[in-house]
Amino acid sequence: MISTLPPAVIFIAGAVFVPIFRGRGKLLYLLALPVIAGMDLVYLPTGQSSATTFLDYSLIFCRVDRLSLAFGYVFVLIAFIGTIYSLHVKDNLQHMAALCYAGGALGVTFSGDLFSLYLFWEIMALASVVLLLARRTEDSRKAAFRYFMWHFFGGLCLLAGIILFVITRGTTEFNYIGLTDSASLMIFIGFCLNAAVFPFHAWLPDAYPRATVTGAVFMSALTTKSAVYILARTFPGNDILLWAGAFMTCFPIFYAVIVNDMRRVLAYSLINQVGFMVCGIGIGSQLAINGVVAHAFCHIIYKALLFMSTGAVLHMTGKIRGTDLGGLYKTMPFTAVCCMVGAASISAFPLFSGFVSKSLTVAAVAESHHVIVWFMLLFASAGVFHHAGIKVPFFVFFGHDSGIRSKEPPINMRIAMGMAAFICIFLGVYPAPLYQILPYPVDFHPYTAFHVVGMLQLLMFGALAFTMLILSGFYPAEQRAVNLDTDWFIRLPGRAFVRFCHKPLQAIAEVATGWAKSTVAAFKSAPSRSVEIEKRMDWIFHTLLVGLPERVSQVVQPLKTEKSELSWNVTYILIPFILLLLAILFVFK
Amino acid sequence: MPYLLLQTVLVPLAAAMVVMLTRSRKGFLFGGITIASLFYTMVLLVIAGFRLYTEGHIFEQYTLGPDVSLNLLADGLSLPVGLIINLICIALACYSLHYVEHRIDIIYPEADAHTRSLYFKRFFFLYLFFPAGFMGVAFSTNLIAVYLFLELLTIIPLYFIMAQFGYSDYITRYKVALMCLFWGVAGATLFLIGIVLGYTQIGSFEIADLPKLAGRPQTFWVALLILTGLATKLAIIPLHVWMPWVHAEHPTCIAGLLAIYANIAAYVAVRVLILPLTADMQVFSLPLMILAMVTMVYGGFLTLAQTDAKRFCACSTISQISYSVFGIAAMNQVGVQGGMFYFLSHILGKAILFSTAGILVYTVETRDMRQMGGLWQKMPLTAILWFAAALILSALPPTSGFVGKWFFFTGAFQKVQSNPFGLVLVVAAVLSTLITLIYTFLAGIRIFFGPLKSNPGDHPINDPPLTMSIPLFVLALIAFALGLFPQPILNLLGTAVASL
Repeated sequence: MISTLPPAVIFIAGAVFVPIFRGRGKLLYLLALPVIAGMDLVYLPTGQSSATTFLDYSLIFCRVDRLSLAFGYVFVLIAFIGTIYSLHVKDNLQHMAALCYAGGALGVTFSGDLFSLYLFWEIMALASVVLLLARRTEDSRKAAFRYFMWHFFGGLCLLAGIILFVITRGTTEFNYIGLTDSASLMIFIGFCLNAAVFPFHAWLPDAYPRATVTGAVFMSALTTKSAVYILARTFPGNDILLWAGAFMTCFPIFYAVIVNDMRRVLAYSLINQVGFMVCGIGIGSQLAINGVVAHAFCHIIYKALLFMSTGAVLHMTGKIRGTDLGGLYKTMPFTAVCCMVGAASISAFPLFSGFVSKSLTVAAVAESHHVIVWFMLLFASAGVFHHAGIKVPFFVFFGHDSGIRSKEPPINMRIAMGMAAFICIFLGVYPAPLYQILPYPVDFHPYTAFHVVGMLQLLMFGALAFTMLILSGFYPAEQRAVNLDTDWFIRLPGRAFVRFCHKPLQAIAEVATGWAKSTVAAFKSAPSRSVEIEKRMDWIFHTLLVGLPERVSQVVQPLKTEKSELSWNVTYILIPFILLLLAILFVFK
Repeated sequence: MPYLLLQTVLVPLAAAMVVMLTRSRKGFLFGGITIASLFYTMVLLVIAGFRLYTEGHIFEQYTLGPDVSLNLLADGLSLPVGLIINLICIALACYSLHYVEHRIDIIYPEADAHTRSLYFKRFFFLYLFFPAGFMGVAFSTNLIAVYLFLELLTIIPLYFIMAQFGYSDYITRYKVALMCLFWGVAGATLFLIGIVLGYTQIGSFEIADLPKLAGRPQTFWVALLILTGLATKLAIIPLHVWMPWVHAEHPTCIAGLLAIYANIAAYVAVRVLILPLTADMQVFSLPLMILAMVTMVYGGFLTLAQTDAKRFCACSTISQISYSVFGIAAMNQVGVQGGMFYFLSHILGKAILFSTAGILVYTVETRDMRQMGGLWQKMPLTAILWFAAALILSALPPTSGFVGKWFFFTGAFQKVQSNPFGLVLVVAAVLSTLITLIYTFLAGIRIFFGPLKSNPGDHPINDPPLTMSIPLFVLALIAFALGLFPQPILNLLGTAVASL
């Protein structure tokens, strides 16, 4: 029976009560929820708990082991930081959606069976759609719709896979699945879509730049990383993931380089970084999985930091395009520093958290002797340094002076960014706490001469290349261009398909609307028709029936009944007697 | 305890005599006597309930002559009915204390203090015939006694209270009172003809002897007559035309009791027809279900069209009574259990709804719901009561209505499972319960939310005095408690219908 409380429940149930609180109380309540969830997390017993049965299948809401705990810690942590970052938001809907989103991610992390997994998966999808819609612009509404379509498709694949899985294997519990039959293939596709594995990645750079300032922080952390977790649990060691992950690290770099919207750059770099994790899952060794978990942990923090700082710029200036920004370090120094800390972390500078985590994955690849993949990852590391490590802070805060003199963001945003920056540096300098929560025992020392020198070489030469490109004028600040991505194959044909279906579907819709309208009209007129019927029945009983004696007397009145009219009297008596005789003869036998 | 059930019938009558003979200037004293006597009978009924769990049933026989005896039976079917009705009588007696004062102010404004106390005395004298009549109907085992108590209910309280304290002007009050009298007597007369016809067959008026009628050709006519008579009381289409008038124009303090008066005919149908003559009644099952369903839907739509607060509740009663009839018409264990449980739930919810409508009419001084709006700020307690009643009548969990509805729809589905037409019928009935939800909540939202409309009178709008609202809260609590813990009553009902 339900004995332990899944932390997802705290968030989701807590979301319901958000509108009740106001002012300071609401702030305290919002901050309390991640804290309570964190405390719950710490006291969760290992193994499976919080299980019920549903129609012969078991639902397990708390499957706790080192893998899920590690992700649980970081999700609660980012929920806390993200909540601090969004304290200034007055829109209750955003808070509720963010809480549900965090709850869904935690639910996915701790679910032990496919039904509850699917439930929380869909909760995450819905909540993130709401976060997208909360921006309330035409652009974000369309993006939300496309996002919803993508994730609905992924959810359907997942559902189909789950149903096939349950039918073929007879149980909903899962641990390692492995790509064997069509059921596992459908589940794999569903998971890969959320992890933005090529070719199911196009939703990410489409939607994330259009989310709200605070929503983007949550979105960057939760959907992809919970998918990473679930892939690490169900499909480790899968070769497809190895190559898909390696490819994922490389191709977004090209897009990120030419894109103008800074948050879209970060979205592409998100795909790049998740590629590292997916690649690590593809290797599947203990070192690789450790690397995946460590990288996920650190990535959530520093990607959130980057989204937070660029979001702060968007919040204060209203602009996010690289061509419109620049020179903000003068008036927003704190934000600039935080952005640079995030950039350094994502580029895996030594003494920052990215260094201690990414090197685990790269070392695992090297250990398993995948040479080509190792080179791809190396290229990707250089690439991420370029587009996220240099481009984002440089063009937003430095670069050419745009003349904008905006002030620092509100205190809550600064506190959140400060916390994330602190964690990045802390873990970079002292990675022991991180290594302690990794699922497998860690025998890795990041600060060896080989690793440090190798990384510094990569970074310094990358910086050299960038400087030379800038100085030679060969690399303009930005290029106005249209990005062709795989969603081209879906959006253009999609539009054509819609035009093709327009006429017949329109006709059917008109018929159905006609039926609906007439049904509604029938229902709407039913009350007044009933009143008419009631009046009629009332008339029948209370006027007609009551008036019958009157009518009878009117009929009887002119009859001749005086003594002198004997023949008439006899006739009146004979008629009923004859009728009675007939009745006795023919009716009552 | 000797004479347990006899006391439940006689104590209200004795209290009525006491009220008639007492002289007092204070009208509330008569109310106090009424309430005290009803509390006493409630204690008796609770004791009877406990005895039922140990003894199975309580049967008391009082011989009044060589061939005539008054027998009273409390078993799993009649005791819950009697107990809940008694509770509602107490609640409405408390509610009436202030309400009658208000009616007297309006109808007889020129009366001096002595005459006013006379009117109070008259009201509570008449009021006490209600519980006496209801207990008599519930516990009697003799058909003539049932007829006697049914007529007692029609003639004494219904007619006179309407005539003296009803709405509308002098002439219309008496007209409506006459209408109520005639319809009630017409139904009871059909009932009487039926039972006399049965007497000619088996030579007895005892319900226990009714199974001897089984299998005879005349039993169909006996059953038809009795059923038509009861259908008049149950306001089944097309014999429902009296209900909107009577319930709307009666003073609201007893409108809840009128709902009981109409719905108790369902109990009589179970006791007199369905339990003894199950096989013969099967031919009536489907037609009765169809009629009940038509009444449900028709009553629901009629209620949606109403703008007068009291007529609204009256038309709602038409629809709600047919829910219990629908369950009873299924004539299987689960259906009858559900139908009877829904009857109890309905009278609880309807007492609250009618009384809340009465509070609104009393406070805002208009019966037109379109002129009421935004009253939540001024009358929050009343609003809570209205929505509690709406929950109970719409049969949403965790109220008793939900339990009753679940059971009787299960019974109905069991009945029609082989018949495709029947399946359509039951599904339509389930959908029609949506109409109840719509009209209760829509009316509640229109009355209590939205902009505050200026009231025509200059009476300040407040929550009613506590003696009016606390009894209704108690009723609501009972309905919710029954919804969460229905097992005691369901078990009692189950033992009674075990033979089906």
